[in-house]
Amino acid sequence: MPGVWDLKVLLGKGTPLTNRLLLWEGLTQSFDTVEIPRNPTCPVCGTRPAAE
Amino acid sequence: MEERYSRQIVIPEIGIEGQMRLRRARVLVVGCGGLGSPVLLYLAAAGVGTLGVADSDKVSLSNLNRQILYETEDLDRSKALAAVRRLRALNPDVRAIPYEERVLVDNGPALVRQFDLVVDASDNLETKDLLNSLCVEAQIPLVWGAVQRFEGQMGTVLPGCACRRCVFPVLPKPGTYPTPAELGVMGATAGVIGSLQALEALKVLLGKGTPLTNRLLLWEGLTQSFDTVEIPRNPTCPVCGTSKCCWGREPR
Repeated sequence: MPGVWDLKVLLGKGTPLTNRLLLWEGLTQSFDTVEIPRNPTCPVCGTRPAAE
Repeated sequence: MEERYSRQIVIPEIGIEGQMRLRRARVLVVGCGGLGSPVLLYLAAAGVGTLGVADSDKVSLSNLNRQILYETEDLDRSKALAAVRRLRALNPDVRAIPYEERVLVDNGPALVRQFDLVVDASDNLETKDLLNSLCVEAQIPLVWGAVQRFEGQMGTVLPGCACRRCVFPVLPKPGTYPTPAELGVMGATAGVIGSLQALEALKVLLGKGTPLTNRLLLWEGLTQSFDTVEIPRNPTCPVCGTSKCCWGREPR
């Protein structure tokens, strides 16, 4: 999946896996996508100033 | 043997016993293209003992965006022969047998019966439908896959479960649907579905996990959506409707 995702980002096509986490369990072939909201107090991205 | 496979032998579901099981296994891969490339590479790397490598085509330049078995210097070579050479270089433990032929009604039955499992990595609906019928008839597990553009499908057919004809009861006539050349396909799309097929085949050979039987997996790469659709067996299916329920192993 990373290969396809990277190509999508490079091409600017489709919907990237942002604010989502993909979980795959191959033994059962179950795929789950979990919504991940951005954490406003995240020490890495929470205080980053908005791009000009 | 152990060092090559150490990263999978350490997995509880595999172990030495599972590795020996893979070494004894015989898998036929029909189609050595976009799907067949990852399927064959992963099965060979995992130590599946015997691999049947079936394709009647030669390598062309337009194959190389997705058919990662081949290199540019393989142009115009037989795919089956070039694939076997690559697989032997990857893992000399594996007995890779080339079949430079299309699987058809006349040669198919004897061919599939030499194997424990068939992976359908073909690129046309006629071959997919034929492989389904052959595997149901011979009671051999089938793992099929299909891709176009950014999307793909796959499923597993075990004896007693819904077959591909239960999912797709109507076979379009040749020439009435677009060809892969017209539709196009991203290489990584074939990589996703082919990798899922390889893992699925290994699971069935090992008898571990839950196979994709009576289910159809639909993957849409542009949105990263995965859907699994329940497919009940059709009791009046002309292919599997009368097939026996037991296939000699415990149901999984």
